[in-house]
Amino acid sequence: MSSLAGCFGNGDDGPGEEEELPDPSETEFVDTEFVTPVVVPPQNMQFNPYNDSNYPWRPGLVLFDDLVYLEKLDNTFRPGAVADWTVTESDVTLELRDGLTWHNGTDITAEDLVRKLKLEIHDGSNLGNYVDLDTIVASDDSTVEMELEQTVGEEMLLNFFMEITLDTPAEYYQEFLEDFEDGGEGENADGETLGEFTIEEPIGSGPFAFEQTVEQELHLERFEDHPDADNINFSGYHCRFLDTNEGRWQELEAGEIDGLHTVFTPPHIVDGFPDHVREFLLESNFGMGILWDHDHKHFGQREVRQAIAHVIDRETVASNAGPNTEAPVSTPSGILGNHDGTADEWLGDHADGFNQYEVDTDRAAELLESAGFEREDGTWVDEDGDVLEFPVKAPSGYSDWVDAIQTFNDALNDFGIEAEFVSRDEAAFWGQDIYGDEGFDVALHEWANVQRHPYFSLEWLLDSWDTENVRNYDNSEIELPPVGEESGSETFVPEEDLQELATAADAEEEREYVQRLAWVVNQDLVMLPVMEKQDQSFISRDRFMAASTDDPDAHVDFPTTYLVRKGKLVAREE
Amino acid sequence: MKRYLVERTGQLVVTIFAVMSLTFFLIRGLPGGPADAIRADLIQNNPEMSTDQINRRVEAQLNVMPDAPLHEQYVSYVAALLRGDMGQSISQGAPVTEIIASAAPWTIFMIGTAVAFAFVIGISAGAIMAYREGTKFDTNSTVLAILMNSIPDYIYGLIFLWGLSYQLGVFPTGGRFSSTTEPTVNPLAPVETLTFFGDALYHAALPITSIVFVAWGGWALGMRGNSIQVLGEDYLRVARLRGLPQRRIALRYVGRNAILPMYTSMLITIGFLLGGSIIIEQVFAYPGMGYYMIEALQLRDYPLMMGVFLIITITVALGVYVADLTYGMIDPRASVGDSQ
Repeated sequence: MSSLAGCFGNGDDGPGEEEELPDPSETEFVDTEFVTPVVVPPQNMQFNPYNDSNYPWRPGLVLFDDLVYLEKLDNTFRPGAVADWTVTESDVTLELRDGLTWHNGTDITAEDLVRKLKLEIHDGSNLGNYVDLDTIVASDDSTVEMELEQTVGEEMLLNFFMEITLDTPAEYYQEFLEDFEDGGEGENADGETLGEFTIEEPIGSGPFAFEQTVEQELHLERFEDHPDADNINFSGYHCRFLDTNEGRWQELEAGEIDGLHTVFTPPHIVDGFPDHVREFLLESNFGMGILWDHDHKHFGQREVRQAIAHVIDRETVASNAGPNTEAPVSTPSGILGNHDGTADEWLGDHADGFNQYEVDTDRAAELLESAGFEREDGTWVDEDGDVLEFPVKAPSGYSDWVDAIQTFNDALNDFGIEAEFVSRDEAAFWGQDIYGDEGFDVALHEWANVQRHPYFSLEWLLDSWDTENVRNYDNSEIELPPVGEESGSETFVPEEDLQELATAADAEEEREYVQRLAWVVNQDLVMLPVMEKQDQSFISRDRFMAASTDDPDAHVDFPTTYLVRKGKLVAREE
Repeated sequence: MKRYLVERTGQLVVTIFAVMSLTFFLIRGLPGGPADAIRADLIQNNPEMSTDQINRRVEAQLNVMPDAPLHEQYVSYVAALLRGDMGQSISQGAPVTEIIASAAPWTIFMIGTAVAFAFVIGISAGAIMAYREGTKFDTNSTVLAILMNSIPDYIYGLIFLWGLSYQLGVFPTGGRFSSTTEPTVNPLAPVETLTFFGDALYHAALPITSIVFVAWGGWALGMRGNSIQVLGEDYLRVARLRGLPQRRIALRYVGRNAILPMYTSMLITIGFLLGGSIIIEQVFAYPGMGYYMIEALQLRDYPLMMGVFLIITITVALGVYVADLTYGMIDPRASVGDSQ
């Protein structure tokens, strides 16, 4: 052990100085805990993930194993509870990882995985669109097989699996599944539905097991039988109740806690952290965009949407919202990958033909004039004399979005479009404005929803429930010039292209359909993607050693939980 | 007296009922309902969830009928309340009475201790200031009392938290007691019980001090004014002429008479401080009623919101009621009713 002393330092090294992580088999066990915040008071916690009341999401990441993990630096999938997978045109085979045990001591078998997948589909997961529920079977103790209702690419299927956690042991969940299978609504013997049921003492599957909830803290202890336990050289993972960002920043700075899973932290706060606090940036795979109501007299006009896109400087908007964490969308096409420049790679030879919507007020004026507007005393009015004005609604708690929208509105107002910022309480914003009766003219919304493959963001933009019901966008037949061309006419049917994309036989074909769908987003601007976010995660290296930020393992959600499994978050000798 | 008692009790009931009704309708006037709030929360935490999944979860969590007509909701709410049932919290998945019962003792402990300290410090300071009226001490203390009374308690809270907790590490940064302390209230285990109380007091020290910093000033100024008025009364001159000891004059004649009006204000203040504890509990991450009030507000958890509102309202109303009824006992000059 003495040979490692040099590596263990005192944690005072600056961000530039790397210390070598010891081999997990050579680290000495330290009786200490890694402490992170949690937003649910421990006395209120319950551990049924289908019941959102007081379920502690972050501790769930070490209490349970995910089926697969997405490594976001190279965009590759890593095995989790599912060690191996085979996806063919008609079926899927999943192989469970060896040696997995529920925390009550029973072995985790393929039946447990079948139960989880079936519960997910009964709960309404999109996976049900591809997998036939009745065909999911355990073919032996560690293998699960299922038939596909339609061909689907391996990467796309893995996108669904990465969101699934092995957290439904038979003891608590079997009766819900049986009730579903008997045609019921998924109730247990007490008449509770899956969404109402509560669990106070969870039976987990991950490297840390429930020990107790005490005042202010949830205590999890290392579970020795987990296959990753040998990589963990410390005894506990504690989650302290801290429900404000300010509290979390202060406790991290004061050395009271050892890490933050993910929390938006402005640059001046990050700068104030001691040198031993390391910031990890991870692709969030979503971002803010401008959402229009396509039924609106003005925003139903393609030229108006395009004109607005030409007025806004996405770079300024992103830099005001979060200079270190927000990347401006390079080409509004609905494809993720603006931080590492991979977004435009999908466009291939057609990249030049896509409209980048650079700031060009002359072009914006031209577009508005072609839509029947004219400028009067510096303000744009339509043929009926109505001023082009609108409230832009945003959720008040999203501070980066609020900063973004103010920049956005300034640009529009300077151009003669009267945009007014309306800050809305989150419940009112999502519940009433977006998904309720109040409605909106223009609002802020995510233009992608955490799954990286372009299929998911393009499906979300062009053919989701939201497309029809929230955006009021008619996606049946869209007339546009052919991909990459300035003139001509072709009919695009996103639903059909998405179907082709989902079942594309090779990369070339896949790219072709991505380009067709991206072209529709780019030309018709069903939404205007503005920026793409990165999550911020922090680890204090005062008491622990952690992998460097360029380690691919540090790009799996979240370094505070995944690095532990890999032996890359190591307690220092006391 | 009996008539007064009946009238005053009637007023109490009407007040509570009126406030209850008013808050019922005001809360429902908030934009967004519980379904909206749950939806917002789900979208924020699970951007990948399908609309189907979100709808299903919203439905599963919603065990109230927010779509029923308002008057029906109101009638059923009042009927349940009369049975002592405050309903089921939407966000916490537990009966409101249970949640309040677990949170209220902590808030009452914190506020009660703060009020007691502030009251003692306030009236003592006020009495001394009055006794030394016009001296430098009086002037400085008056300025200090006004100054400290004008700054909200959460500002003191933030300063204490930054300085004493984060910078110097003398006090904990939040919580009601240490995670290593076993909550024990048992006369047969006095050491454990005392340790637990000591730890709880240590954790509540900063919020209590923040409240005391603000509240003492008001009482000091009130006590000073009353005392000065009393000091000018004829009976005091008589007492002095009779050669009564200074100590007896100060305590029996001045103190007792000057403190009487303060008694009412203390009882009312307790209620107001319960309401005011919401921010201070947030600052110190102290999960009392204030924490649940904010949670309930964010999640549009009507039953829980109403429950906390109601407890605060009833405390204020009861405080005034008790003050009114007992004031006559303390000061017979103030008794009213049939004897007059």
